[in-house]
Amino acid sequence: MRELVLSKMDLNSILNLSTKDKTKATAAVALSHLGLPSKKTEHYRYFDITQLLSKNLNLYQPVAQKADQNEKLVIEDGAIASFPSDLKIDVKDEIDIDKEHFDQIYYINHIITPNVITIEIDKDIELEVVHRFSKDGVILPYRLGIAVKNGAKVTLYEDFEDKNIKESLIFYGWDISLEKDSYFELVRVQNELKRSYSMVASHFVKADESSEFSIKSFDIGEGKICHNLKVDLLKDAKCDAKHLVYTDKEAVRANVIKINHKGKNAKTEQNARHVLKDKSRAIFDALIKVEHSGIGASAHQNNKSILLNDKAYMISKPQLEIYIDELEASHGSTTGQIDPEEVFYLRTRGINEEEAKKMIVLGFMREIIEEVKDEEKKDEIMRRFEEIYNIDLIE
Amino acid sequence: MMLEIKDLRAKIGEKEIIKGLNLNLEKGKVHAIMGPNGAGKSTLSKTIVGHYEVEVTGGDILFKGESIVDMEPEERALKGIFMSFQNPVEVPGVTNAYFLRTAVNAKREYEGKEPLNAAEFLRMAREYAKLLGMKPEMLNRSLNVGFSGGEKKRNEILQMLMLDPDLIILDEIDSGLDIDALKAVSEGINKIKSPEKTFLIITHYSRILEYVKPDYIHILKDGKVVKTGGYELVKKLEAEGYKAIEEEQ
Ligand SMILES: Nc1ncnc2c1ncn2[C@@H]1O[C@H](COP(=O)(O)OP(=O)(O)O)[C@@H](O)[C@H]1O
Ligand SMILES: [Mg+2]
Repeated sequence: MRELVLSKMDLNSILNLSTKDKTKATAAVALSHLGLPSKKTEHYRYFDITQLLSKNLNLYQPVAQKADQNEKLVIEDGAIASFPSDLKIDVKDEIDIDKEHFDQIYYINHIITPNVITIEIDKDIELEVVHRFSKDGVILPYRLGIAVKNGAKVTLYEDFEDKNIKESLIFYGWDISLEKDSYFELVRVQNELKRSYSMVASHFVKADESSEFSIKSFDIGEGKICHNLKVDLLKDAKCDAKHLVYTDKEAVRANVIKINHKGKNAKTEQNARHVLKDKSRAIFDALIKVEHSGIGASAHQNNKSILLNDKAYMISKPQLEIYIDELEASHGSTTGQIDPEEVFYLRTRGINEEEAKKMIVLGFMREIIEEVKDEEKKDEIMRRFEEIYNIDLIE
Repeated sequence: MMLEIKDLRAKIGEKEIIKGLNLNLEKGKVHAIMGPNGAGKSTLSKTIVGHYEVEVTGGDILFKGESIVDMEPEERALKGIFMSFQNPVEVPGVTNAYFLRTAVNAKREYEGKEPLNAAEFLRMAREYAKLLGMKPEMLNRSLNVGFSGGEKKRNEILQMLMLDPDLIILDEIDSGLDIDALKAVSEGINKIKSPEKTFLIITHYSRILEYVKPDYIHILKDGKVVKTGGYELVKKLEAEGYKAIEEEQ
């Protein structure tokens, strides 16, 4: 393992980390245009990427191991540990990547990842993916690619497990390509209640004609975690994005999402809810951009946040950038405390103050959880948020 | 006596709204409070249930002989005080059924009773909902969210029936109701009227008082009870207005 302090490296030495295949060459060109992330990088303004990159860490490159057959796809420290027998899964040097991603780490991740785990799906399936981490003190880069073929309908449940890896920095991300008429739903639950690691995950979704991309993300607890997501919508494509974030202690959780309406009649519906406790920070930086070619667009975006105390800090930036004359669009953002009038109402019915606040906060969160269609999964996610019951909501 | 209010003074922010108010509510009786807009009727009911914005600066409120002014709102509720809100708030994501069951079981626990299980609870809630002309689906919706004005008021009465309180304060339960809703709400009220319970009905109109006959009428003006009488006061008010009653003072 070699030691790597990314903040001390210049562009060239990072580019030199890559082998000379096509994917990495593409990434290198894009990165040299973007430059390295710095304090001035807009989407990292509140995330402090430079502090993360200045850690003294060893570069851990995933090693292929003998994989078992299992109902779930398990990725352990970046390598396939098990997978369902009927899954078309492979490890490749080269895949098509986005040439216009906004995030530098997207490219750095591609450059320092030796190869990409790829999945090809041509039928209707549900797939569970578990990421497991066990290496402390490392930079762990890996990437996943998924191609959903014409008309296939896929739901992917993504979960994370870790063993005491406080010092590690993980780079990972999905490159998702949705062919015509396909449907892809990503349900991500990242529950970090006890320990905390750092992660920058950078994703790209290309949604071809009449396809639909749906993301339901659930971020719970601690850690310093940023998800950068870029979605390109072609003609008649749809994006349905729902995000629920609960942070506490010293957590910094960011969702940076840029959805581009490239083709005609694309639709975006994006709703986020945040609940922040202690000194935690959450960032919701979401842009829907309707390009000249995006006529007939419909774009709706909303975020509501509850601060449980005054040390918590919410950065909410829903934005619409529109280059066409007519469209159906709305956006809004509210941040505040738990409504005292709601608390009072419940208390006048004999419910004590703490219980009343919990009911209100869980109700606020439930509105997003209800979006998960599978009853069992929905209940499981609800339970994870209800674990917050064990934490005192009142200071 | 169910409730004794003695020389009560209360303010919201810097503004004194209740200005030395005296009022006795008898057990088993229906009291009505009428009075012009801004007289302090809602503030009085908020004071009785312990609203966080209201500060009691003088006097006392005794419920069944015990002072309640320093009690938390939930404690007052558990002891048997209920107020229907003039404008009930919406609580997204908390289903009406879940809320009602939590409230009912909080009270049962306080009284040392076993909690109601889901089936027992639903049977009871559905029966009362039916009485009030509410569709059973209303129980599965988020509390008050998207309810019409009439539905919100019926839902307040549903809570009253489920919680079975002893002192029931209804703040403009009748305003904005059509005749069917008014009948349904009145039926709910009459359902639990008993010699053990006391009602305080705050209203602008005599309409509801035709369905729920009051024993006493109190006129509230500028933070004080300025006149107390029987049902005949309503007629006088209708004929002559508040002005006439003022001039009598
Ligand atoms: N939250 C508040 N802040 C300031 N003033 C208030 C507040 N609530 C009520 N008031 C004032 O107190 C007075 C009495 O109001 P209220 O009790 O609502 O009267 P009523 O119910 O008899 O119409 C009014 O002058 C009103 O403006
Ligand atoms: Mg009023």
